[in-house]
Amino acid sequence: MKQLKQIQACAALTLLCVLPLAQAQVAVIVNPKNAAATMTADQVASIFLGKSNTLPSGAAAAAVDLPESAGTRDQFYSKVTGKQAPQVKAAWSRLVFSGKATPPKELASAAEVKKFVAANPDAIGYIEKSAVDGSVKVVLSVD
Amino acid sequence: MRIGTGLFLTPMALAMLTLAGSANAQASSDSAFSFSGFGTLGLVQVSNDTGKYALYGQPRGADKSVTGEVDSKLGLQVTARANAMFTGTVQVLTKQDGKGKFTPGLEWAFVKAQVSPNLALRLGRMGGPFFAVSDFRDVGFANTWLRPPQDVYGQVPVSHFDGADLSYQTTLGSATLTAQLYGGKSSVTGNKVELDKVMGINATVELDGGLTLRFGHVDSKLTVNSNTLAGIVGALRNPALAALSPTFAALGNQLDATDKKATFTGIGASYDQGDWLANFEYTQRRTDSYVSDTNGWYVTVGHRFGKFTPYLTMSELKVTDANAVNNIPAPTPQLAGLKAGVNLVLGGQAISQKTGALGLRWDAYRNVAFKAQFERISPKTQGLFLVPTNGTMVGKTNVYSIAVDTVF
Repeated sequence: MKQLKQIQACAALTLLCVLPLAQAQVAVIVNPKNAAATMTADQVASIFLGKSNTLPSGAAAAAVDLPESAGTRDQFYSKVTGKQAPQVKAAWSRLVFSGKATPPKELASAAEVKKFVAANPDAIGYIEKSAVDGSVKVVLSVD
Repeated sequence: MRIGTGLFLTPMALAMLTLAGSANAQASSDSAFSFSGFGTLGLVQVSNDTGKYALYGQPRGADKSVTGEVDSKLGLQVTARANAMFTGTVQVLTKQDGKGKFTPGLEWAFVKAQVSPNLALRLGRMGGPFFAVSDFRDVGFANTWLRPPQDVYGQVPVSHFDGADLSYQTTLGSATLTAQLYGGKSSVTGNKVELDKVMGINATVELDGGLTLRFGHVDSKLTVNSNTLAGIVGALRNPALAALSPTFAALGNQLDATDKKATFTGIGASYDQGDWLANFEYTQRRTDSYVSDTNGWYVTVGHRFGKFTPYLTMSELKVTDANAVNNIPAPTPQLAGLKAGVNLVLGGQAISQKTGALGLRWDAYRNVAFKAQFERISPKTQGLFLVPTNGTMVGKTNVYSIAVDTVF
C-alpha cells in the first residue's frame, strides 16, 4: 500500500519524483527443507555479522551475500542488522583478522543466491521479495 | 617537512592496489584458499623535537618532520580450508619492527580445529589476546581510532605467542559468552624481550543492545636480554660490594629481568549501537623486575554522522611502582657511576603520561577509511616518547596524525 501511494505521488509530481529503489521488500530465504518457519531479525543479523554460525536447527549456516554493489544488500544490512556498509565491513574485518570467521560467500546475482539456497539445506540468503519463488522459503521479510 | 619513507611507501601502495584488484577476482571463486589483507598509510608529526613519537618497540619515531614509519603497515593473510574441521591461517605483517626496519614478519601461522560449533583449538603462532583489541589492533579499518590508545596498548611489547589456545563460545539467554584459554611463549626481535610460560584467559560477553564486556589475565616469565642491564645487575651483585652493604645485591635482584614473574590484567567494555559508540579499558601491568608496574586506562566516545565519525579519547598511563629504589650510597666516583647507571635504567621506566585525543574517521568508500587525529600528550617526565637520554623532560606535546586504512 505504501508503495502504491508512493507511485501515485510520483505520478503526480512527475519530474520531481525519483522512485526510491531501496524501498523494495527484501526477503530472507532458506532452503524449503529448513524446519524453521520464521526467524527473527536478531537471529538473521547474528549469522550475517558473524556472531553465530548456526541456524535455529543447530546446523552450521551456509550464508550467502549479494555483491557489494547491490542495493538490496545495503537495504538488507541496514534494515536487519541496523548497520551501514562500512560498519558491516569493519565488523567482518575484526573477525577475519582475528582468524575467527570468514564472511558469507558472495554470489553474483539474486538468481544465483536463489539457486544456491534451493540446492543447500543449510543455506541462508536474501533477495528482493519479488524474486522469490517456490524453490526457497521466506523466513523474514523487511521493508 | 620531510617525508622519509618514499622508497617504502611506493612499493607498498602498489602492492595494496594489486592485491585489492586480485581479491575482487577471487571473491566469488570457490577456492579452498581465501586471501585477505589490510593496510595503512599513515603520517605523523609532533610539535617538538625533545622526544620522538613511536609505538612501543619502534626505535624510530616522529619529531617535527613528518614520518610515515610509525603507522604505515601492510598485512596479508591466507586461510586454507582442509575440510569442515581443519583450517590453516598465515598472516605476514610488515611494519616498523624493533630494529627500525620494514622486514615482513610472520605474525600468525596456526592450524585451527573447529571441534564443534562451540569449541575450537588452535596450535601454532597466534595473536596474544592481551587487550580488548588485540588480533586486529593493526587493522586500522576495523577500528574507529587512528591507532589504539598507547597509554594502554603501549604497555605490552608483544603481539603474538607460539603455543595453543582453546576457545569456547556459548549463549546464555540472549548473551554470547566466549572464553579463551591460552598458553605458550613469545619473543620480540630487536628489543629482545622474551615471555616464557605464558598462561592466560580472555573472556568476553556480548549482551543485548550493543554492549560487550571483557576480562583478560595473563601470567608469564619475563626476560629482557640487554647488555646494559646485565652489566649493571652484574656490578651490583659483585661480591666486593656485598662486603660493603647488602643493599647492592638486593637492588641488583630487584632490577634483574631474567625469568621474572610478569602479569597483565585488563577489563574492558565497548558499546556500539546505532550512531553512538564507546570503548573503555582499564589494565594493570605487574612485574618483579626493573620493568615498572603500570596502570593504564582510556575512554573513547564517538558518534556517527553518516560517513563521518568524530571521536574523543581520554587516557592515562601511570607508573604505580618502579619496583626498585636507587638507595645505593655513592661516596666514590665508581659508586656514583653505578648509581647513575641505575638511574638511567629506572628513568626509562618512568613512562607516566596523560593524553587527550580528538579524531575523525571518514568512511570514504566501502573498504577505505580516512582518519585524522590530534593528540595532546602530557608526560610526567619522558612518557612513552623516545628520548636521547632516559630521564629527559619532554613536556606537553601535540601529535598530529593522518592515515588511510583499507581492507581487502
